[in-house]
This record gives sequence, structure tokens and C-alpha cells, in this order.
Amino acid sequence: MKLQHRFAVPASRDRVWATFKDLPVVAACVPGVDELVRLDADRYSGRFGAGVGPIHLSLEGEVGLEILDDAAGRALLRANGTDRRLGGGVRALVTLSVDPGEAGGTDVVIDSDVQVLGRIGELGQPIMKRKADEIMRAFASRLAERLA
Amino acid sequence: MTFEYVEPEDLDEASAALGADEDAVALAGGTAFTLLLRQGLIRPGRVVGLRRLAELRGISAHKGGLRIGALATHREIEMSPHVRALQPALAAAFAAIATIRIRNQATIGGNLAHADPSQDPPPILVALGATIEIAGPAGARRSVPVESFFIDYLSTVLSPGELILGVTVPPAAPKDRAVYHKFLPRSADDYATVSVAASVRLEADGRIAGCRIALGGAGPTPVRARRVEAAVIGRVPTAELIRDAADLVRDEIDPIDDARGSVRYKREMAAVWVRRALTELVA
Repeated sequence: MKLQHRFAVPASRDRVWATFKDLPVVAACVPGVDELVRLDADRYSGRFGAGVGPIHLSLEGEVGLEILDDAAGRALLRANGTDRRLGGGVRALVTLSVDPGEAGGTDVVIDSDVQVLGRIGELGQPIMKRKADEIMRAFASRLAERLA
Repeated sequence: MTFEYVEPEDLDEASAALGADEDAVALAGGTAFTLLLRQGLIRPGRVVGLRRLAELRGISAHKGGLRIGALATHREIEMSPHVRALQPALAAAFAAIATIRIRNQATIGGNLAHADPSQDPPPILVALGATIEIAGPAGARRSVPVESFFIDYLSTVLSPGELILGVTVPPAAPKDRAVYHKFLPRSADDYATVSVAASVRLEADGRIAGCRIALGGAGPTPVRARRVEAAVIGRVPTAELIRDAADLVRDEIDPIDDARGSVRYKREMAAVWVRRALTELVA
């Protein structure tokens, strides 16, 4: 499942980029992420919870920074998570890019390539996409608040 | 997989059983519960069977209004002499749900609590202005209009420890008319690609005094088409007025691309079926 989300943040490109390089700060802006533990310079373990009505997803896994291009303002993250209770998991490759936007702000583009494995897939792509949109909206607003 | 199964004898006990465990699930007819369980999407710690709760049963009529207990099955509603006499469109909508095996098992309370936006009861209940009675901890009671009950896909305003007692449908005036249509391009027992429920109150001079329109399969929750309603209320219905008003529904809904149709197709079909429903009601 390929997803793209775009939003504008009312802060300079350099400030947004500096925030994106700090994984714990980014994680704090994603609703449902907790128990983030540093494994090494570029890798963390943690948990991500999300729900659709009575269906609760709780993914345990790792997120790592694969590529960081300061000049271009591009980062590639790889995340893997498993839900032991439901059975199944999610693998995601996420590209973050920042570019100068209007009025001194920054345009953020997040491209995600998500593989859903096992039972979680029963939810269906349209529902998962909606959930991803909801999480991304919350992420954008928390990020904007933090940089305000 | 294991879970604890309890069957409370009264509402307070049921509320306590549902509130005490984050993963508790209420079980009525079980048609939705069983599917989610078999798909492996839910792992309840506790299942609270509601079948001993007498307050949740029965269908009664009072001064032209209806009170339908949460455990009333779709088939009981379809066959009820009260429902057929007072709200024939509601009886007809329930008669058109899925298959008779499902209608004999599924309940109105279970249907509403499951909150699948493709299901048939919510749109017709919204069009008729129905209200959901909710029981909570320590004898707490509250009422919520059906249209405000759903907050997202499979999500409702019910808090832990709350359950649906029943549904009340207000009295209809003698000239009120209502209808429910579902567009089923695949098979007769499928969920609708889109569905439309509408009710209309006509003045003696032919103007539309009141109108409520609700759609299923049109977003993460049932959608009320307020712009369409506003465009026809107070007006004398003509074919042109209805066509122009129905076209407004395209931008009022928020459907998803799935096996039942693309977003664009669903918007088009919603306009077509809103037009047909209104045309039929004012004829």
C-alpha cells in the first residue's frame, strides 16, 4: 500500500529538518507511539497502538534511519512491527522530505510504502488508508505546535 | 483463544461487566461479533451476553411513536404489526436486510453498536428522526439521536460500561412519507454500494415542510444530506428542483474506493438514488 501525505509547517526548513533528524521528537508527535528505547545511534525499539472501533492494533518493533541527506532534506526510515495478540505485522519504508514553502514555512512530503501482513490485512486498504490519514493529520498538527 | 463469558441478570450488572474490562464486548445476536472473531480482528477478554436482560426486549407503540428494544431482531421489526402500521418504510427497510437467516439472528441494538456505515438500519432511522436510549453505570440513562451516535468507522459514542437499551421512533404525521432504497449492483444480499433513506412532510399547498435524508455506504458513518434537505424545504417540488437538489449530495458524502465501486461512481449513484427517493416521495 503506497501512501502520500503532504502538509505545511509554519517554521523554517532548517528547524523542521532538525526536528526530523531527532527520532524521539518525531515519535512524540505520532499519536499511539510509546516505550521508545534507543538501540544504537540510528535505531530505536518501541510500540505503536491504533484502533478502529473494537479492533485494537498494538505493534511492537523497531524503527531505524536508513538514509539521511542533509543537503537535499531527505530521510528514509524503515519500520517493522508485529502484533502478537492479533497475529500479523506491518513493514513500512517511509521517505520524509522537506522543502521551503510559502511565507517562510516548510512543505513536508511523507511517502510511505506499507506492507501489511497477516490478520491485520482483514481490515482492508480503504479503512487502513483512512486511519493513516487521521494519524498523519494529528502528526502535522502536533509538529506545528511543537515548532510554534 | 479463550475469553470469559458472562450473562448478567440486570442492567447494572451488565454495565459493571462491560465497564470493568477494557476488552469486554457485548454480545446480542452475534452476527457481527462472530465475523470479527473469526477474522481474528478482535480478542475479547470478556464477552457479556445480553440475552437475559428483559428490558432490552419487545416492540411497543405509544401515541403513534415506537419503542424498539435493543434485542429485537431484524425479523421481529420487519414483522411487527406496530412497525408496519406506524412506520411502513421502517418495516420495509428491515425486510430488505441481508437474508432471512441473518434477520432472524441480528438485533437492532447489535447493528447500531457495530457501527458499520454500510448497514441498512442507520439511514432509515436517521431519516425518521429516531433516538437511541443508552443505559450506563449506576442506573445512568441518556438519549442520543441516531445521527449523532456514530463517530467513525465501527465507533460510537458509547463509553465503557454503556449499552443500548432501545430505539424510539417519533410519531409520523398522517401525510409524512418515507422510503429506503439501496443500490445493489452485485447481489441482493450484499451491502449496498450506496443506500438512501428519505422522509418528507408535505404541506396542503404542495410545499415540502420537512425533509430528512440519510445515506449508507457514503462515508465512515451514516451521512445526513443537509444541503439537499435545505434545497427542497419550503419549496414546491418539481422535477428540476429535485434533480438540482439531489446533485448536491455528491459533495456531501465521503465514500471509499472498494469492490462495490469507486468514489466517483458512488457519488454519482448517490445523486441518482436521492433523486429517485425524493421523486417517489412527492409523487
